[in-house]
Amino acid sequence: MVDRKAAVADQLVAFLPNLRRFAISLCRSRETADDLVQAACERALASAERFEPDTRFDAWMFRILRNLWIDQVRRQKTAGVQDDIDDRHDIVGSSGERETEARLTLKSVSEAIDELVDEQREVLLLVCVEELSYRETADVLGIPIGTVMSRLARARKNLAAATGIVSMDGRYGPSGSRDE
Amino acid sequence: MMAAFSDETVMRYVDGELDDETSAQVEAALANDPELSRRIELFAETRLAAQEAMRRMLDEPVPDALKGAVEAMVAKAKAAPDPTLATWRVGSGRPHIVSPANDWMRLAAAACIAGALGVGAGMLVGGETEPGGLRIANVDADAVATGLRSIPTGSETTLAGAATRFKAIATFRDSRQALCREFELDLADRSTVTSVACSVDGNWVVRFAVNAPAGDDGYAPASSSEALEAYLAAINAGAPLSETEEKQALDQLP
Repeated sequence: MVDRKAAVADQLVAFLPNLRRFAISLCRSRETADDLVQAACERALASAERFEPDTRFDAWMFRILRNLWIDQVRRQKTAGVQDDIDDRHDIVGSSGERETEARLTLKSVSEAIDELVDEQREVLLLVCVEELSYRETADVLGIPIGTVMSRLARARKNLAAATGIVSMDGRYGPSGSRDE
Repeated sequence: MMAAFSDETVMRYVDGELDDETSAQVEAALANDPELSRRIELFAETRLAAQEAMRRMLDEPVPDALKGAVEAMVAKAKAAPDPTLATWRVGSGRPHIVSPANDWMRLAAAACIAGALGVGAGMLVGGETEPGGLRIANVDADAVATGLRSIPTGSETTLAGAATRFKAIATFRDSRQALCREFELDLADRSTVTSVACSVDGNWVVRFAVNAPAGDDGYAPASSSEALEAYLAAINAGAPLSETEEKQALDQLP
């Protein structure tokens, strides 16, 4: 029989850097992130019997951590209306001003990711960086898969526009392929 | 023909999340559609750029305070194994965790769990100095000693002079190579004592005993096996001996 608690415990320490990266991108404060990571680890060990050994450990941990973060944010928001993120305007416009700049450095990519609205940043991180599938990402975030796709597409267009990743002048010829 | 692929379709193509049929359509359109090619680049490049930019965060050292806290809770979790687990039995391949630095933590956990069970006189964690030797509940010590010496693991017997069933569960060596046996005594009051006794200079000494009222199924509740698991981990119990090894070891007892 698989000892789920041991399975969770064994993976936890090695997974800390990824967990911390996700936490930092959620709360944008290293200090808060570390508390959050610790709380998530505690929660994971306490509910280890709910971890299905043939599913992704990382996705399970991300969901625990994110749910804790959402709880915390809700508790802090004792007043005020939470704005529906899908109604928000994208931070990066498509003014074309940035698009004409030369491709920026990697640090600028970080900055651009940082400037994304939270909902776009988290899908970008889960899909593109942590390489979760859309389905897994939808499960982590508790949203429909269609919402994952729309947020992810917007996140990447914003990122591209902010960093000049793809210029609008058509310098990429008709040669693109997935297997580059 | 210019198929009008949505941004999401193009993105799914790049991310490998598009069905084969539509993927083929995208690829077919690609040859004559530089704009489509550019859009594919956008999604492919942003994925790579995000990966690249975020990679460095993994190299950031995890703060000692966080790492220490998580390591401590991991050690604690391992000391009190999942109660849904089957109790350790011969041949079950219980992972043998040897980490002396954490022993105090496991012992504390064992004592804590057993204490919570409200075990009476039978509870002798680390009781090597206990002069009582093999006295468990009111069961005749000599009868238990005979059982320990003669009953192979997996067998049971009724002890002479008492309505007590003796069941040999496992045999192993502790960290000091003393021969130890885990056994159960089903008492007349329908409770079960799970014990570990080790042979020291030819005498059996009870090291651990936890009494639990039997459930309807006749098995001790999980909490008592947790206490036992924690205890076994704390004394660095070796892997259970095989049938042959056990026979040899028992025969060699003084």
